[in-house]
Amino acid sequence: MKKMTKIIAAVMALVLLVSITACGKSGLTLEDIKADGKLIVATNSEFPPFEYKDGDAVVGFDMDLCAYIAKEIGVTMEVLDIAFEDVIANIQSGSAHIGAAGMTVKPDRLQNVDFSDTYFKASQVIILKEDAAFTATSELKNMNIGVQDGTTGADYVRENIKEPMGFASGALAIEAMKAGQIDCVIIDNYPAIEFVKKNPGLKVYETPLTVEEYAIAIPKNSPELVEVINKVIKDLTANGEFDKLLEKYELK
Amino acid sequence: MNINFLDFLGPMKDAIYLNFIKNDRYMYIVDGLINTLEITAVSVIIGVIIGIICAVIKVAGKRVYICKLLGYVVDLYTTIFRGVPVMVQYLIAFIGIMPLLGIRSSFVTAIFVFGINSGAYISENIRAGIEAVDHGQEEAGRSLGFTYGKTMFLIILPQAIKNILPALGNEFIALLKETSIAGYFAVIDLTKGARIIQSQTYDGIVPYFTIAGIYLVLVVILTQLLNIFERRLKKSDRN
Repeated sequence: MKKMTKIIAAVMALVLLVSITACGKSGLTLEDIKADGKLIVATNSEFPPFEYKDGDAVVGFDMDLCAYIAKEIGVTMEVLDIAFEDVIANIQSGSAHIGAAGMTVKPDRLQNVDFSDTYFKASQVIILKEDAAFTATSELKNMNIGVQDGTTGADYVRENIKEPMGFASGALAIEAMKAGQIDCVIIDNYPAIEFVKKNPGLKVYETPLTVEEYAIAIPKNSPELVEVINKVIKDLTANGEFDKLLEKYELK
Repeated sequence: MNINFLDFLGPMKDAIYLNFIKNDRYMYIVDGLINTLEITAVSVIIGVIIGIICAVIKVAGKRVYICKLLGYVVDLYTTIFRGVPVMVQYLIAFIGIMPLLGIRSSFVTAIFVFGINSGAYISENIRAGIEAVDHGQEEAGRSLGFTYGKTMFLIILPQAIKNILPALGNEFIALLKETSIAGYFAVIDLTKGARIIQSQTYDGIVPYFTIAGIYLVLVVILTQLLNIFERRLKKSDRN
């Protein structure tokens, strides 16, 4: 028992130590990124049309936007394709410089990460089987609701309806619905349209549950980086490039 | 001492508040812990039951003809479930088998997958344990007039279980950690609980280190319990 107490004490000490070092970490400067020679963007390629796989490459609206940011800084861009929930952890640990994965700004998140200006309005919608009788969102509380883990849709359902069934990806949630394990999937509207396109027999219930805005995640205490990214978003909007991007990915 | 500790905690106070206290987020960890323990315990029980049945069939295959035939089925079972990654088994069960059985509970799915999977491993452990029991024990049982079945269940199996207790303990510990896979399939286990907190606060460090600590403490406690249990059972040993 003595040995056990010692081990537990050691673990707790380690936790404190690591957490404290992590708290005091300073942010990224543009010099840091230039020294690396590339802008590393963390994303999750299962979120079309914002990020998805085309062959081996990760492409999409967010990726094009980040290419502009990399150009502005004067470096090339590299994509780190990981699970959506791990995007932020990789920015915090320094394995990626920024995160672009259709992420929503929320007050609690701001304590651990900064966001750029928002660049896109999205909403949460419901995907159902085509033959499902569904007339009002009030019916949701009697259904098995599938969500993608870590998304704001998951939080919305959790806070407003009931505990959802969370899956590692939107695609897995869709599979589960097709197999009859869940009744509907709540997810961001544009990925929803893509999923329905690829999976015959599904439909989107048009009325959105909530509206939210995407932004790019930036490590804390990195004012230069925030400034550059906001400038790129502003410039692109001003010169019409942003609209062209939206059209390219049918986001209008 | 008390004041020192609080000082040490100083810079952590905000992070702990945000990750655990605010909106009762600690409940994700508590619920997750309960689910993890429940899934592990029930799966191990299912695994041991399947394991004993399979092991007895295999061993009895040398004597009883029907068991010999059933032995082939058992062979197929252990080969498949030890040869395919649990993640893949889970995917197949979730998308393919559960809908066929009409089961929609993610919790039942987890128990089903982990129970059957660990049954394959445990059956091999138990078989090895049975074969390690001295042949004289069986002869003694038979000469006392016990049937083969009674000899097996009353004399050989209890000794076999004692032999394989460390292996069973390892299986339990392995399963405890393996259950985190269930989080991918709509079960809120300990790992998933921390991931939900992380997705709300975008702080990975505090929740992940917390559950790492919890897993470690659980395994240390399990190991200790197992040691005590083993020592008790050894009391009957003559040497």
